[in-house]
Amino acid sequence: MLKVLILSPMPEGLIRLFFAESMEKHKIEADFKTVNELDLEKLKAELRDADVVIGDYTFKIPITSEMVDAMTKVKLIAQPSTGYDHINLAACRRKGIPVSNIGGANSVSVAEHTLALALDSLKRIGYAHRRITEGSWVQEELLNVAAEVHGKTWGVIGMGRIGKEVAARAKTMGAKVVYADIARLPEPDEQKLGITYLPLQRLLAESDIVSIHVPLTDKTRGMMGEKEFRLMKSYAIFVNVSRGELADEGALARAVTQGWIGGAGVDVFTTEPIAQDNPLLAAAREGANIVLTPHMAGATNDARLRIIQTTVDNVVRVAMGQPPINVVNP
Amino acid sequence: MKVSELLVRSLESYGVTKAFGLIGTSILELMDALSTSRIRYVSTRHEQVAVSMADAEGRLTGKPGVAMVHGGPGFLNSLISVTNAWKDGSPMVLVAGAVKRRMVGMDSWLEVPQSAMMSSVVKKAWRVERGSEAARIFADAYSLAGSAPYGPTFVEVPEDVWSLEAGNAVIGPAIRTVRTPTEAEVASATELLARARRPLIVVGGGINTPEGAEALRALLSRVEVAVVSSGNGRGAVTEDSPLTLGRIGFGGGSRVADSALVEADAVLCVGCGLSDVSTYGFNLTPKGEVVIADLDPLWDRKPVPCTMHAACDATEFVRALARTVPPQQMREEWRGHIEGERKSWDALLKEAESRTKEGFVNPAKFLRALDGRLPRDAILAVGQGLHVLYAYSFLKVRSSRSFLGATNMGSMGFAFPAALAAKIVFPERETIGVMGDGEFMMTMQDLETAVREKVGVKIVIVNDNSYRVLLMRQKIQKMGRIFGTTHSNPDFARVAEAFGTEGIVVDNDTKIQQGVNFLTRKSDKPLLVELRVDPEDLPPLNIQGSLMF
Repeated sequence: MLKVLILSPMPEGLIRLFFAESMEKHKIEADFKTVNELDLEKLKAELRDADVVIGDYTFKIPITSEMVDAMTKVKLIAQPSTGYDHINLAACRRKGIPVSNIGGANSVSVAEHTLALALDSLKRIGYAHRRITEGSWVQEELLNVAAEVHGKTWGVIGMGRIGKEVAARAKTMGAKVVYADIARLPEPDEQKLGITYLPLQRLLAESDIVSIHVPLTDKTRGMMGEKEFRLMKSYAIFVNVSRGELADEGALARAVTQGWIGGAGVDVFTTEPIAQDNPLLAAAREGANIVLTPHMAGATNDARLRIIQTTVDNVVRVAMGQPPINVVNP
Repeated sequence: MKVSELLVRSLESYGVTKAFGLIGTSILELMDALSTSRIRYVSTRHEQVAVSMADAEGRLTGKPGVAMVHGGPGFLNSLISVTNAWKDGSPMVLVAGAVKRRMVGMDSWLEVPQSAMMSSVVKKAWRVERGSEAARIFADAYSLAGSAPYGPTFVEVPEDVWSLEAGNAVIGPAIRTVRTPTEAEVASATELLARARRPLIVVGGGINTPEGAEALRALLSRVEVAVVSSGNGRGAVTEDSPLTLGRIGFGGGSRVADSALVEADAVLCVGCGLSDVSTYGFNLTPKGEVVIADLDPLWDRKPVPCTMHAACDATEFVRALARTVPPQQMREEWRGHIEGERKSWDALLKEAESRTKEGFVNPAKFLRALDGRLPRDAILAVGQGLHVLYAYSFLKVRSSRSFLGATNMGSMGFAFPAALAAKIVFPERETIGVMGDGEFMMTMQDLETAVREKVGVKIVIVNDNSYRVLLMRQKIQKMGRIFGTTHSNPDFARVAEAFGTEGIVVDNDTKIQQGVNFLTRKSDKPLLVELRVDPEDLPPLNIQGSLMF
């Protein structure tokens, strides 16, 4: 019987309900156990005979090199979120343990949030709401600044699942979509999606809206710094719903307050919950066109059940002797 | 006769055989009059229990149960139970003492504005001020409670009024009958059923009677239509019929039933409407046409469009339909949808029964085993909490008026008094109360009542040492921050012994048979089984619907 160790605060019974239909259909069995605690010795004891580990969606329990070393027969670490930077991938690779995330289970949620932040920045909805509740009718002021997506160029950095969902939505709103990525898509795919590849620097220079959808790795950390923001148009909007560390927050705050760019929508921060001395927070409080949300893009009510099902489906694949999908360290 | 004697003679003449209560100075006179009556008085240890017992008697018999409590504190302790009866449409009369007339309005000892406080959760509240009006008020209170749509009524009698002269004339009750359906109403429903491709019948508390069940049997022998029930409708059509899909709605609905309600093209509700509970907050409502035969006076406020609402006798309505509806078979497409849903739901049930965990018993497995040993007319009482999901999925209700639950109020503490009353009302029928540890701890003092009254009620405590509904929500919705949801409990078997009866602890699956044998044996004392269950366990439920509620 497959032993599944759950590090998330998920009731075992809940996971089992998502497992039940596959269990009946494929005649497979698994034993689920939740160990949502930080005691390393206890964790190591449980990891020793686990076949599959479901990671912690609250990111409080990292999977360290020492923990990976304690694993003797783990065939998969299934992380029930998009992000997985709390897992030591190098250690997993060394031991040949695949790590999966939830693939596209919350791509739509994240993409919709990307559009929401971009639209808010373009149309100043948060600002307008605040002013009107303060008793001001700022119609005339906003006539001069609110803008459309239609006819604009939307630059997507990272054309993965989320990037594609953003591109599809931007296109239905009448934007031209360009993208940059470490690997260019095959031409038929570009044509099908109706998108154009550009090197990053050109994308930044040509886009009216730039949204970033890449994982946090050593190569992507800090990839949006002062130099990159200065390349952007003075009225362009930057949206980050991926990881706070992808952008230099001080540079982004300066970019908006000093008018290198027009505004920003940010859902993710280098420290979460956001540090009170975060420069983005200070800039937003001073009235810069910066919209902040508390790392909520992927966490919709709709996505929640899909995330669990996607995670459990990968457990099912392992139980059936099939290779897992959505592996992030192939 | 004095007012106190007149009340007792009146109740006797109405056919009342039992009364439940807790004595206090403001009803001392009444108790003295009752002491010479043939009415069986059951003295309880908390007014919540007494009043829920009267509520349960009303639900089981269709005639008002009667409770008697002290004014002030006793009255206030009754409020939860009266509200249960109000929300679930149960016939019941609550009589409370009150502060002496000369003390009224002076912020006196025991004084609270009882009628004013009670009036929003009863059909009507009366205050007896003079002996001459007592007979009329008692008759009206009993008649109104016992006239459909059922509900509780309230009578308060100031302490000094009990002794006033009230005359000797008992006034007989006048239970109002409900109108029969019109030809047009029956024709409209007949036409709807005849043209429906995916018809569904929803049965509720208003048809959950022996007569209603018989009428439904007659209808279902003519037309092959799937049936779901509201919480209070369980057993109107036996749940082992292949046509029954289970209960709809929050707190015990099956996904098969919920899906059928949404996808049916014609929904015929008999003896109930559709409520926030049965539709997960009006989120899982029918896509199809809805026709209702029910007496809910607040139906017009419910945001569910319906093509016809007949405020008539639901049983007569079904009887008429059984005569007029052309015979029909279930269409294969609709059968296919239902069977598909049933298959995936059954997979969840099967998986839940397959779970094992060291140190715990699997409650699904225990209740399934118990279900196999219960007679068809067994009475099941449940409370509120995660344990009800096991009781809904693994214990079937096979006859009418055999299920008791605080369905529409959601208060904890109903299961034990309801089961206790059921065994007193029907001593020959097996009665099982399934409750959580949190719930039992709110009413367990009345084990003493059960022992004293020699009531062989059977109690199953699903003990997870937590308020598990909230524990689950903290895990799923609050990032695993556990706060205020876990606790310890006494050894309930030893608690039972301390009260003078027996109990056993079942903490692994090998003891299931022993537990079931213990519970199903004949007894003139309450028998208690404590199931030690894994707080990580989650029984099958409609998760999507529940998150919307």
